Amino acid sequence: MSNIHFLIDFLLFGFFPEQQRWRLMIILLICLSHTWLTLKFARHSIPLKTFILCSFCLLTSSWYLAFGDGWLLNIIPTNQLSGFILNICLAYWSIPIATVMSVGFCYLMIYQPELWPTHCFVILAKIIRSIPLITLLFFITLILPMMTNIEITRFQAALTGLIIFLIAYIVEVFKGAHQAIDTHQHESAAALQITGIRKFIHIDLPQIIKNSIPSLINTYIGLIKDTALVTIIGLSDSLGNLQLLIAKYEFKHDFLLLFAIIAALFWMLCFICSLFGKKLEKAIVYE
Amino acid sequence: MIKQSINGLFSIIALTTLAILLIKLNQNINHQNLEFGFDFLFSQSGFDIGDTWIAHTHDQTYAHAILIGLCNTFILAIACVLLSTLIGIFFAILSTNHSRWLKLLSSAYINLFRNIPLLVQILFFYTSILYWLPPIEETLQFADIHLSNRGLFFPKAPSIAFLPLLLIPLIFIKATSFKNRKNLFLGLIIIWGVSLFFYDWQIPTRTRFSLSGGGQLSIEWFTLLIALSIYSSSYIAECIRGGIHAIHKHQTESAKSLGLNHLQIMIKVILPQAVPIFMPALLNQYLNLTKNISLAIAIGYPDFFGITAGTILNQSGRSLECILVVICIYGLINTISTYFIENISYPKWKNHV
Amino acid sequence: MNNFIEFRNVSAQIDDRTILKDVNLTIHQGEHVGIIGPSGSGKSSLIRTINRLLPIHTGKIIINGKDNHTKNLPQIGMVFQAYALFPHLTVLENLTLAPLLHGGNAKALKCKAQALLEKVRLAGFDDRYPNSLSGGQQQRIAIARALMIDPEILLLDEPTSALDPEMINEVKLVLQDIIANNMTVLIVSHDIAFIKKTTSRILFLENGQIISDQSQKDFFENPAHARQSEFISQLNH
Repeated sequence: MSNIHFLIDFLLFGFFPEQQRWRLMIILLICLSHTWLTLKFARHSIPLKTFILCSFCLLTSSWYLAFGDGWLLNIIPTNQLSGFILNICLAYWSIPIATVMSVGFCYLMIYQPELWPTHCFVILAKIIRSIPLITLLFFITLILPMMTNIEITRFQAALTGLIIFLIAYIVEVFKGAHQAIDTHQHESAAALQITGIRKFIHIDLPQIIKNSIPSLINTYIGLIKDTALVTIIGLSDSLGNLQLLIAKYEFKHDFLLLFAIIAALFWMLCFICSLFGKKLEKAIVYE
Repeated sequence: MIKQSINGLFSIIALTTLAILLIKLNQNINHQNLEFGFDFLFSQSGFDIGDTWIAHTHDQTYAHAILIGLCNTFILAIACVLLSTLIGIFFAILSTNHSRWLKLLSSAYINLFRNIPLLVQILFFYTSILYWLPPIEETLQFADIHLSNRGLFFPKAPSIAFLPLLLIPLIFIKATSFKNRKNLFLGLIIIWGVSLFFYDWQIPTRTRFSLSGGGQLSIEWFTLLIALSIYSSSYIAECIRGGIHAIHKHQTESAKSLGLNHLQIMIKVILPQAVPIFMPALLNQYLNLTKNISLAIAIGYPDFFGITAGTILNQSGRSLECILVVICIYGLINTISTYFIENISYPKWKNHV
Repeated sequence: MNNFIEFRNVSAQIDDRTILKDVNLTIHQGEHVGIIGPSGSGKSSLIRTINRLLPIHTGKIIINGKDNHTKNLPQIGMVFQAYALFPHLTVLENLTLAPLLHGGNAKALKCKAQALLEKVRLAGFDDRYPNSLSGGQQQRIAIARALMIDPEILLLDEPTSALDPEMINEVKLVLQDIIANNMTVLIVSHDIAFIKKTTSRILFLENGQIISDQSQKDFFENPAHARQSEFISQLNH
């Protein structure tokens, strides 16, 4: 039973260098503080500009901590970021980026439906929603390097794939939430001569976000679960590490324990996410 | 004016980018001494697929292999849809029960399996089935049915024996009363059951290393059936539960005042009204299930995705064509089923909602 | 007295259904006009065409000598039946949002908003959210919001119809106060007593047409149309 410590350690952090583990701890802290910050923002405790600035800083610093710069922090190759921390990082990096980008696409879809870029985007989003995620991951790992002659690491492919996939779904959620806005809101905005992008930012967006929180959180949970699929394109996330362990003879009989650990980890992450959603829903009550 | 210039600018940029990408792509493809095109689909595949419902041998074409994969996907999808709906309805009804423990059990089931990635579940069931089931030499045997870590071997009747079962839908369409329908159904089943004794059954027999003859269901197929059904059933239970909750409480109360019991209320009063509410969500779950079958590639079951983007892609090196085929066929499946989901009507119940 | 608002052969449709038929109408500056008629007669549509909430198909609407699709029109404020306050903004933000977006000074606007809140008897409600207020309070805030842009024309679309009886009075009192000054006001309402108190001229609409246009006194004392007296007697019972 002495190697249970080793097993958990390997599932969590994988091949990340032993001496640099503190960086991962800080990343975990950053994730937690970002959720906390979001709740604070939802409760109007901090203004929008501070929130955006803080989010940006947290995201970039977590990226910096994970990969280093070779000057202050050692450079970590992307294939050494593995284990469950890779799942967390993929989810943490893709969720804010995809959400912000889908807000932009949502504006295009609602206010500029005639533009050709919007038409292209709508068709692409429809295609992406109709294929399974691995098809998209395969496309990015196999076809994109051939198209651009750029080497794409598996990690980059996974992150792009997840972001694109998430955008396609979030935009759909936002569209539904926009349709749920009362028509009187649009009328009174028009009577006050608030139109175009100003109307989108000040009238539509806050209500879209509020209406869409339950389905948005479901989409996020779906994404967290989908991060497990990166094993199929050969990244060693927690599930990949588990398969490595089971392949070894000495751990073959521990598979129940290993699967239990992985399942518990994912379950906890999803649970935290849905808890966050419930808190957020409570926080954004305008009363 | 601004819109037109944006359109113009966009089309110039998009077309140039696309052109550059395609030129690069073409160069790279030519570099591998290949030429873009779908002709290769009609050349010999050169591989056998073991685990299929219709045999595929190495002298048949790639296109045939893809069709076989589609067939595998659809049969698995139908089996999973049936099983997961049954489990889902069971847990949905459980969650409307008055007993606190049954409610807790149902919500525990739903929350547990919904929040664990499907891939983890598939690999878990696969590993544990392989680990717990005995090897082929010492199968678990019940009469002529053998169970081992190579799969389930069972006696097989010729497929013509199952033709009478096609009459079942006819009974449901033609028979007028419930009693009439029940009697016809029972009669058909009994006659069919007796008739089974007169066919030639292929019985699995032990050869030197394996079992041959009879029917076989592979472990991969079973794993996928179990894992997908359990995972989807948690979603299905949740959406059926939502539909049931949307039905007004007064319906239950009035049914209760008429002296119906819990199960009768559920089947005769609540479900018929809840069906139109949860049906679109349910059909979407079935669509998701079909897409999720692509995860079969992780345990090597030859479904459509595994054959096209796995085996054929590696064998022929035609990555672009294979991925395009996959995207097109999934797009087609999605478009057709979305059309049905959106345009389906529920004439019988629609007025009640 | 110039022709401030002018309808020239205005027709409007929603999905092939004609809601305004060939309306011709002139309203002078500072006039208070009541609009009544059975439901579905096009009362709300008539005032919605003025601030372009409802597009017109034929004809022209001239405001202060200019087509109402041109820029630099006089400001038009509107109060809706369903309040239509922005639920995600506080009362103060609701009031200041539009003028701020049109380039106002935040501090001056805040003072102005507070003065207006006092006028509608809701001083100190600055930081509340609309959903935590009663219908009457919400409607008074909606009135204050319409006044924030210093409108020369005020459109009231059934301002008291969605309210409970005890709240109608507070809204009516506030409206009577505000309407007293030099604004052009168009009021759609079913409340004859309210119309009597606030307006000098009354239009009666039926099937998208103005079938009577009289001063208030004439409207009740010698109605121009048989339908009109029938309608009034129905409302009184």
